[in-house]
Amino acid sequence: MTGIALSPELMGGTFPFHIAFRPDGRVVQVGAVLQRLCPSLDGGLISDVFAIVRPQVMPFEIEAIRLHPRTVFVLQMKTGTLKLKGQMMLLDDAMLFLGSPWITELSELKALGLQLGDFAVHDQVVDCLFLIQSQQTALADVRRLASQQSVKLAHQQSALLEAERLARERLEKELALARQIQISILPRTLVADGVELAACMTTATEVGGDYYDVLPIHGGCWIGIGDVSGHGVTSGLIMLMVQSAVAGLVARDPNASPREAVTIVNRVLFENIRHRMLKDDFVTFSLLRVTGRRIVFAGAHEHVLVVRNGSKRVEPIATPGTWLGVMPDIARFTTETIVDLEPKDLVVLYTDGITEARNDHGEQYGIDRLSALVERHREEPIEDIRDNVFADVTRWSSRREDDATLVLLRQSN
Amino acid sequence: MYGLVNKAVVDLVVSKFGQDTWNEIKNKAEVDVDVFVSMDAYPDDMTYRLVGAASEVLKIPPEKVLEAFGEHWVLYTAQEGYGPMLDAGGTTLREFLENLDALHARVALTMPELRPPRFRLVPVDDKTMLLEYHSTRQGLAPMVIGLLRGLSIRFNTPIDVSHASRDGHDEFTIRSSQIS
Repeated sequence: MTGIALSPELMGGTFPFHIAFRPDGRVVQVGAVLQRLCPSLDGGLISDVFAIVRPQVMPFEIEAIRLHPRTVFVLQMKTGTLKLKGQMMLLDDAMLFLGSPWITELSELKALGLQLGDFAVHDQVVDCLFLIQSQQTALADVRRLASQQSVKLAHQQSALLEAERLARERLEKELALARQIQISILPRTLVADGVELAACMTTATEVGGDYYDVLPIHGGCWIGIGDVSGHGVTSGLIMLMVQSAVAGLVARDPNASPREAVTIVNRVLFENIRHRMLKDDFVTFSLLRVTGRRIVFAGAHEHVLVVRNGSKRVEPIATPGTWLGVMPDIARFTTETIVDLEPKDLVVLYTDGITEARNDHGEQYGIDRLSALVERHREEPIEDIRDNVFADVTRWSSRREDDATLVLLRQSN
Repeated sequence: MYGLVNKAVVDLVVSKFGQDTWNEIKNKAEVDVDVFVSMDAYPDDMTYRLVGAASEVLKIPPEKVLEAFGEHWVLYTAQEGYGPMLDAGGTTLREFLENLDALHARVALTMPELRPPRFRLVPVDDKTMLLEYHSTRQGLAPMVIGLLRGLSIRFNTPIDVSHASRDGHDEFTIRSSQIS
């Protein structure tokens, strides 16, 4: 094979980073670009300018190098950052290093004083660098997109939180308003002929709707107690209706029948709640007429507890009947119950906020605890009995989950 | 065109005229892309529509839009992480133009769907160079003029460019007292 031989000039352009050196280390030929980067190389000793990083070859001698014929050689310039990667080829009377700068980032080119045109056209080092560059660009793109997405997400989340906060604020305002309605219509003074009276209502934020009223008449009073289902403004409004309807009926006829009064109040509520407000709320409600020593009541609510002065025991009296606002006419289900009192007999009316108050173990306060307590305190001033009941219930359940109402009446004769 | 090109169009419009103008152009061009992905290929048609819409909205002739874009391209690619690549292209305008074709050819390796333009630099005398431009795409010669302007700024070398359409390609005559 005759083949071709490259002249040093042609070799210098084709392999711009090659080095040829003699067995004594004397450099006899250098690529054009490398010569520009290391002017002292040509004619000097290769070991003065370069050290071998890979493989482990010490010293820089042909006899040592020739033992690594198919090994990647990395040369490090002793007075600079330039690294060359390539191979060593043993010639008759010299060693030839063929390689290119070892670069992993395009930006290194500038620092080394190199540019695109310095590389041989066939050299793929630059292509690798471009490949790395485009991968970095793609990665940067992905990072930017991801961070844009997280910013967007954060915005959405904070908007969501803000909406939730506003909704909660609106609800809290509504509940505060409802509470205001509920409390504003309670009787301010409790005075009636022939009886001592005491009452208290505590309101909860979450659930509510308790109601009580005392309307004095000649020789006694009317007492209403109940609980509107649900909570919020609707419950407050319904409570107002109950109060107004009862007050109107009592004003019209102080000696009316509680059964008839409850029946009429139901008719008003059913019409208003179902047909006008278009709601399905309802009311548990008992209405008591107290005249002389007799109590006549109607309407379904909690038991009426009577602490007899004679036996010193509680006599629980059921309140048969049905809820208000559920059907148009409840006359059929509404009965009257008569309770005759002895002097000093104590009547205890309450809502479920008292008996259903739960302690930390989920146990309800219950009618038995209430009965025992009022039996124990029955002879105390009526306001003290009231305060003792509330104190005991609060001890039982520190959380106030529902409205709680207590109305006490003692025959004073 | 690769997303990088469209991103450069977005960047040009938004930086000079604001986001609202860009939205208007995008709507007019009926381009429904929120974010262009640099290394993704998009239909050429989309880029042409954007240029057309930009011309209408900004009331600038399309060739001036392309020219402005070419100029911006040099700036934009440098700031988008291609600075080192531009650096590798050379330290003078002349070196860079000599490497311009190699630059595109090497980039094509990493962008398989790229149909890069081809360039050939012909030195005329010590003040004049001729740049031949071949492209499979039509009507982008004004962009090359902008590109040369951008490079003139990059290398701080004032130039004078004239353009001639030849048989199947374009020729740009570049004159400068500083190119020898």
